[in-house]
Amino acid sequence: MDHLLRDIAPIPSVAWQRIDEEARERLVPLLAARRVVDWSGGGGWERSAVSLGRTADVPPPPGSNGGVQTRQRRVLTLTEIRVPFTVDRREIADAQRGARDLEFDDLFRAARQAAETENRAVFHGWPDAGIVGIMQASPAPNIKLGEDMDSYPGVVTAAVERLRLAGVEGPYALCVGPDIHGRILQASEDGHLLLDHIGRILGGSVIWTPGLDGAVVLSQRGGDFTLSVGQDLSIGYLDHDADTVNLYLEESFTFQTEEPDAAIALTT
Amino acid sequence: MRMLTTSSPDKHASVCRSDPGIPEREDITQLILDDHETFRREFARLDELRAKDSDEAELVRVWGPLADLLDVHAEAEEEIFYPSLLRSDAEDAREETLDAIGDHNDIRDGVEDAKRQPVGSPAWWDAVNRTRAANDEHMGEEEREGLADFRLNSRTGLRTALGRRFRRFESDHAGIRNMAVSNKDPEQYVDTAQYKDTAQYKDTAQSGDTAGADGDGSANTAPAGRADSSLGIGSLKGR
Repeated sequence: MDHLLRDIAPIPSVAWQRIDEEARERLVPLLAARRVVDWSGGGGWERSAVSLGRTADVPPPPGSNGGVQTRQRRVLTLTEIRVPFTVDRREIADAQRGARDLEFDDLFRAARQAAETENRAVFHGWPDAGIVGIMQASPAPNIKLGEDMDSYPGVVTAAVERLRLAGVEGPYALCVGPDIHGRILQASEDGHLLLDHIGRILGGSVIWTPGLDGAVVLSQRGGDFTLSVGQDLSIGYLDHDADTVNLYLEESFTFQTEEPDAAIALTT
Repeated sequence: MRMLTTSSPDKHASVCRSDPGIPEREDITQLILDDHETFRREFARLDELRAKDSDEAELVRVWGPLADLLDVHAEAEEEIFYPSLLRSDAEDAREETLDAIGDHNDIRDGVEDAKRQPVGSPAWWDAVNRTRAANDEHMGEEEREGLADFRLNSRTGLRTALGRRFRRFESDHAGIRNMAVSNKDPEQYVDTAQYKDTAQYKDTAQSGDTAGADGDGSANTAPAGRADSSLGIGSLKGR
């Protein structure tokens, strides 16, 4: 048995399968950052850090004589996130009976929170967790996206050109917050979808990204951004009463930008 | 077929990668690019030696390890990378692999021809230059097509897992140690390679995509087919 304590939860195997399936179905569309950054998994819950391959000077131990050079290895520590949620025990019983229209509303809320936390950490950073986000890391001056939809192709073209001039090859993706994504979906130019036009400029996709404020154009060539995960998103058991079972979504991760020039932040 | 089993390790020291011990950088596409960079640099060193009219010993010191790495690299790609590319969803994987195997044959021919000529002779330089031309063409196509397509059609966890195997293969066979070097029929290779090592591929894909083996594997705790208790979402890049 691992630390998730799934074995001691009052949840039979069929219901566990339904809960896992529902969580997976909800999470996959929400985990937008994973669509555009590289992935480094493995190590499970025991994994604690990612080596940066760098050192920092530290003073020698007290009392040591001169002439000793001392350095400390630098690492990026993994951070745990946990989002509790509840499941009605009547739904668990119905899952065992074969019901397919199960109500896991609180699970959906938790999935959205967990995914948005991961997305925000990747794009906007998380200073207390030592994570610098893609938008913060980009050294290029931000380009203003604005409200005028007609200007979007030009703005995206300018961002792509800036990446090319910096020697960053494509294809490229445009990640946008839900509001901007909705506007792009509804816009058209001379009978053609704006979404298609922007996709052709990018040679890639426009990604709906919950948790992202603004937008960012970034290269998809690989090797520029890495999400390092110890334990991938999992569901664990907390406790229960006569009516509900308290569970949680959990993950351990960190994020690193290897090539800051590979992204251009667009502000609204 | 050439079966070569001996080469002194120090002879190859100048181009065999040391293990930097950084798992995050073990993406197979990155490792292949690293080798390409080595090839370009070592051929440039040969240019320098030719300009200085260097003697045979100096030429052998550069060409020997370079020729061996060309052979080992090609075998490693045929053993690990191209079977995986063929199994991916990359649209042009078959054509790209046919081209690559043909190029590998040209490279192997050039290396073999050079071995038959006196080092530093015009015929030797001719063979070396033919090897370089074939290799340059291969690297350019592979970087634009096969590697790019594989990045777009594979999970990064898989690329890392394959990278570990690629690195191990090159390490185990450094100096073409315990390795058969042979040309391959491209059509025959493509028809059979994607079925090669399928069980190991599944293991690799799985280990690259899950978070670790900390679960107890019971049907009640871990979804079927995974060793841990996670939801098994992993990388979604390109999806």
